[in-house]
Amino acid sequence: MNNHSHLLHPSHNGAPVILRVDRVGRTYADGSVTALNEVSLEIRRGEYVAIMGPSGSGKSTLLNLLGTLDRPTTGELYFEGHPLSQLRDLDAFRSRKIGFVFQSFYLLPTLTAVENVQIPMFETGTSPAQRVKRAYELLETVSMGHRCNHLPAQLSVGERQRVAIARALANDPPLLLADEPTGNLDSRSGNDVLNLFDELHTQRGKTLIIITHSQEVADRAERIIWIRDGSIVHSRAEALKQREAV
Amino acid sequence: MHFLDFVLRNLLRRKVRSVLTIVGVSVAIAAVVALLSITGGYERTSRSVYAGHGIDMVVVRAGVADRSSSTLDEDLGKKMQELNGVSKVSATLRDSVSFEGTSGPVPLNGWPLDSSNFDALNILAPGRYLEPDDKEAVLLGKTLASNLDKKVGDEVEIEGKNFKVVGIYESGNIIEDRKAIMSLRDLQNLMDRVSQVSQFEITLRKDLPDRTATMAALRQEIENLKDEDGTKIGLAAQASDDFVKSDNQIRLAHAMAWITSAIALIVGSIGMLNTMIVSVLERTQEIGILRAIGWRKMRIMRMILVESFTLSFTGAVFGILLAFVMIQLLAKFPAAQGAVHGGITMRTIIMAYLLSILVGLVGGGYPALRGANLPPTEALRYE
Amino acid sequence: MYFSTFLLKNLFRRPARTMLTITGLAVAVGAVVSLVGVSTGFKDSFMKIYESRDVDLVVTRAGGTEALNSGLPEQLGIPISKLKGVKEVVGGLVDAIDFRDNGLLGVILNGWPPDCPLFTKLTVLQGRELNAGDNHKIIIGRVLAANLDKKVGDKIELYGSEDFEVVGIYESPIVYENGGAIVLLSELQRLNNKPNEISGFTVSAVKPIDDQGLEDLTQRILNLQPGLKVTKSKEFVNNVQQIKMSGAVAWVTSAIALIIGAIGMLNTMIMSVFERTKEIGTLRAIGWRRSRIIQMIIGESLLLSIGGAVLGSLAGIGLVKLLTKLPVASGIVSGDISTHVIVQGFIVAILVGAAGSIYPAIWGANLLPTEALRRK
Repeated sequence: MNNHSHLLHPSHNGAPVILRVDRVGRTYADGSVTALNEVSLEIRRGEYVAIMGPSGSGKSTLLNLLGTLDRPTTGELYFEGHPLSQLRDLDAFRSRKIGFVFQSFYLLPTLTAVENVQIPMFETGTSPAQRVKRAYELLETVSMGHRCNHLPAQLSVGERQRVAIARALANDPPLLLADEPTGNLDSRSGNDVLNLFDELHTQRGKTLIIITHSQEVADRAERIIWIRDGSIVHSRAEALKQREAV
Repeated sequence: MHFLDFVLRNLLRRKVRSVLTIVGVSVAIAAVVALLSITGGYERTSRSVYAGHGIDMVVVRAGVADRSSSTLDEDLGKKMQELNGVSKVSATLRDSVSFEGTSGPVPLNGWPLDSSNFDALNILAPGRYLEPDDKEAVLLGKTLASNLDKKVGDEVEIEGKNFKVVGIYESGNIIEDRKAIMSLRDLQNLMDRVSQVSQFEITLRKDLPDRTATMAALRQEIENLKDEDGTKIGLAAQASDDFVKSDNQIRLAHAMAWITSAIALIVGSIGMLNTMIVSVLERTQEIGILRAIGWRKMRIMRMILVESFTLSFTGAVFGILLAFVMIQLLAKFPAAQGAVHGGITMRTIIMAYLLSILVGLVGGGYPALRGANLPPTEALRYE
Repeated sequence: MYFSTFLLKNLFRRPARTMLTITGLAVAVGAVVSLVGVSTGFKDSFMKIYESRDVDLVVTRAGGTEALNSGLPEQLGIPISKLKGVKEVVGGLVDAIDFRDNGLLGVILNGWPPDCPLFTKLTVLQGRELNAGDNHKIIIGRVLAANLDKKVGDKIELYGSEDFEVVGIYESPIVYENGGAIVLLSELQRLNNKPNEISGFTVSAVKPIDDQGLEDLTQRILNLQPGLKVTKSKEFVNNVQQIKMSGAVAWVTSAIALIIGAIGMLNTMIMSVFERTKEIGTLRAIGWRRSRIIQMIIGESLLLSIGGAVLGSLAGIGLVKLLTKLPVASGIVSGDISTHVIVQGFIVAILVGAAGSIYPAIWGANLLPTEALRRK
């Protein structure tokens, strides 16, 4: 399966494109540093995609662009067919359409699990009562119902990441972006988190994009996109050649 | 690396915080320095009014709160002249009058023509002192003359009556230079206060063996003077320095300056304490490391205290500069002229540094103790 | 969870810092409330003297600095009272005296003629009123009696020369008069060597009277003789030197305290935003708008200000209550602080909060989420 690299998984043939990246480039320091170079790809609704590449390959830049945390220097991104550069309020877009999961969780240390999950809901006008109800439900979904009123410091790292995933689901976004979600976890809790992703993908129909450098994690995805030197390459071998060259 | 380098680097790590803390302390110290300098300067200037005239003692009505309301009989001067040790007694009638062309009242002194007070005035050319055959003549202080835009020979309307400016004087004293002076007789007539004076100024004989004892005895005698019916007249005689110091307005100004300074220092110290507590807290782990590699508690305390003193001391330096600039600017305002006087004494500067040490101690003391008493094992575990 | 709960949790993460910032601000607000409160209270009680006596105009000498050394002939009262539209003219001599042995400075000593209508406004607590011919007799206010520890029948030495017998102790509706004393006009004139002189007249006009009518009456009085100054009672109070001074001192002190308070606030908020860079990045990444970050930071700072204002107002009120217990101040300071002053205290506290948080809020809102998350 991982040999199809950027090919579409057969089960999603015919599903609408949720995210289209059209010749996107990103340069830094007034154009002297190119992080991404003319990248094009399409992700369909309901797909589970892993992005792999050696460090410095541009995968984080790509994730930031996909997550609208950053804007491209050239090219255009389309979400459900709408060009993102035309969007005035990217924050509102992000809060409704994208859920982020970070390597270091980034939970707010003073807030309990159930409070952390409510944070994104402030931006969508959810009523306080609804916020609380929904936060409990979400924690239940990630099997954290028994730890709702614990502070992040009182939770294990695996539990923290599950709370962070519940937070990412707060406004029920169609697309989840995860940046090395198991990078700080031991193998058992890492496995739990990956199982949770599988569940969200198969049962909830979420589109998942995961950045990782772990083959084991990438193998869970339906499709792997390899990236090297700011460009998409066709195989693992091609991507790793770069690494050896350096 | 020197220990101080290490401390300095700790402070530079959080530049914005260090700068803001210094700014807070500077404003507090500037307030203290400026207020103490202004009130102190005012007191010194008032004192020099008497020193400039060679006056040793001042006699006013006992018990009055506002000395400009003191009223005494002119003839008392003769009684005092006869007392032991007195070289000369001169009288002053103080009043305030309306001048054409000024909004507020102007202080005016009436002196007998033979008053030695005239000796301390420097008449600017072309002008002269008051003379016995002058009718309705007035001397103007330099500042007053320039505020009124009057020259020697001009007429000026005082309380609805025209007076001729015969001289403009400079006394070297900014309070005096805002006044006007006319003969005691003219002022008494103008204000309908025949034979009244406000105070007597006494100059002692130069050849006294024990001035302090004479002064004390003289004071006793004057305060016990009685009138024809044998009732006490009720006089208060004081050495001129004490007279100025005990003036209610000066006392009030001093009290106000200290209250304001205290509030400024309290708020400034709290800011300092805040900075130092946070600074120690965020370095908990570092302090643990320092302790683990063998630093003693004392050195941790010293480190934190030196940091806090560095901040407060720098605050004092900038505060004094700020106060200096503020006073210079204030002295330029016409409204403050005569009240503000552009000098900061060494004593005030030393006071400012002592207070900054206090601020440093208040701000650094508790955090230093807290930092020093962190158990290294726990500190290392702290995130 | 409410947004405000979130703000409170942020503040309580650093309880020591939060408490110290609130304390610093509370001292500043306490200074505003107590000093401005005392000085406006001083002015209000002065104002009440003229209002309660229905005084419209005050006549003094044009060149006098203030009532104390004004000085007008007593006889001028007759022509003024005969003017059209004048209901009542009251003349009196005022002096301020010190009782240094008791630590009392500037005690107001009034000299009133025996038929002075103002006597009817006083309630005699002990002894009696002053009557014609009461030479060497004095009546003293309730507070002065307590401060000097004098009873009816005791003697008080005035101007270091003559003993006056206390014949009565009175209570006046005006706080600051309770700290003073009253002798007959002729006695005070004699003591001050000011025969037939008074400090000024208060004039009540026949009611109703409009501004124009008051203007005309002023002109009629001014025409009587040159060198007079006629002031509307409200302006007169506003121009009393001590009131102007105390107001100015109160505001200068408050301004200094507030500047330092604002710097402390700025410091706290900057530290707090700096150390939460990553959190702010997270909030932005999960979809919080810039405006909500600004709301969060300014909201936190306003909570601190309000905390400071509440504590500071309480401290200010307590301080003034304590002050009224001190002999020196008791005759001058009235214990109550008007809500107006407390509102002012809150307004300045909120301004301080705003001043201390605008820069950190903008800094925080302009953080790029990608960069903020990368920071250590």
